[in-house]
Amino acid sequence: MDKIRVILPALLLLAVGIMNRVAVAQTNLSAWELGGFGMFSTTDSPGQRVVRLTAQTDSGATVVLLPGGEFAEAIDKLQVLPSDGRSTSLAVALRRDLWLVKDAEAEPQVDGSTLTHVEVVVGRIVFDEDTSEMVFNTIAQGVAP
Amino acid sequence: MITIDEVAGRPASSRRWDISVLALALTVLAFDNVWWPGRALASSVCMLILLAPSLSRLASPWVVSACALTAAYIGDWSDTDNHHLMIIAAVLLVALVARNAQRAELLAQGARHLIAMAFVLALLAKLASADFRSGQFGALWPATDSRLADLAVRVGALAPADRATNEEALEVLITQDTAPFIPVEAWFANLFTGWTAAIELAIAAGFTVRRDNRLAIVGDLALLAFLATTYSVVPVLGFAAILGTLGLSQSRHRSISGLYVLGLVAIPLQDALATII
Repeated sequence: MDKIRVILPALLLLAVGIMNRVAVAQTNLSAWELGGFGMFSTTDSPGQRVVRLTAQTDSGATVVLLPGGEFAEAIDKLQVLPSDGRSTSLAVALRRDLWLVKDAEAEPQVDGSTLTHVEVVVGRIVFDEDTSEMVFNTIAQGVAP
Repeated sequence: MITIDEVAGRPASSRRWDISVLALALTVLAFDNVWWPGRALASSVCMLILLAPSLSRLASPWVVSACALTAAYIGDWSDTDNHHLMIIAAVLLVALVARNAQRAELLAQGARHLIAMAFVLALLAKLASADFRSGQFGALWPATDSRLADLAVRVGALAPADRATNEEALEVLITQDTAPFIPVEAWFANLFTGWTAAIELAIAAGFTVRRDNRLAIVGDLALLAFLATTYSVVPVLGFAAILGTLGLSQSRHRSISGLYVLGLVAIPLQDALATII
């Protein structure tokens, strides 16, 4: 019985570690997070994942600086475990918050152009040895009309 | 070496238990910084244990603390780090052995299992990572992480101008699909990769063997070296604290225990001084 008590917490770590490896292999979960002890094993840490907010208008696309505050947690979650669903939810929330138009008849504007939709894209940064450049690779995206 | 069992006064095992749970309670108080309701409950329990140390011999306070920490871990999953999971496992271990007459010895054995498991998992993650196996992680990460980039610049593995270029890369990538990036020199990349893998392998091996095995001392020395080298450059204080606490819990020798205590005090102190300076 004592042996079981002593080994049980380590087995808990092992179980979480195995689940983490499966999740990393099958989803976009960063190996750095959620109990896999994969810190310092890959450059694909949550902090190295770029979240882009783009406002699409009838005259082109404009990249908008992401707000922090109430959206910080959603952005954190998106960096740790990106998914199209989570990206869409954030896009909808940002669309509602940043381009709220009180007059239901009016159309939201961005720099004088009519906003058509808002897009949130999460990118994993990959190094291209041939060009010595970091390259943005899309791993999740969501659109809010 | 003088063993901790030779310390005068109360039974040595009782003293060892008290010191270990004191360090663990302080670690929970200082580094369980996620979801506040869970933190509040776990911290309150640990405060009670610090004020009334006899409570540490009961399982229930530790069970409550482990449950609160687990709820915090799940409730605030995107903000949790691996050391939070280590803290939960350590608190659970204490809960499981607290009522046993041999609690200090069982805690020591369990602490060794936890340290070994954490580093086995860390090694497996590195082996599973194509980035790490190819050496690309070693070339890129020290140029990316500002704390390691400082070191790389100091030892001449990265030019200051290249560092500035790299710092801009992430900002550039918010609006563009590519950004120039300069890895560190190959010798530094190889050293970083080799050291990381070697020290983790030594810790995993040293803590996998039984405590009375000659190789066990390798584990202690490797863990102390890991704490001193890694966390002096990249001060992940929560991880340093829980590893130091577990190391202290299983240490039989006063000198080794003293080094763990020194690590527990020196690493946050160094970080605080670095912040002030």
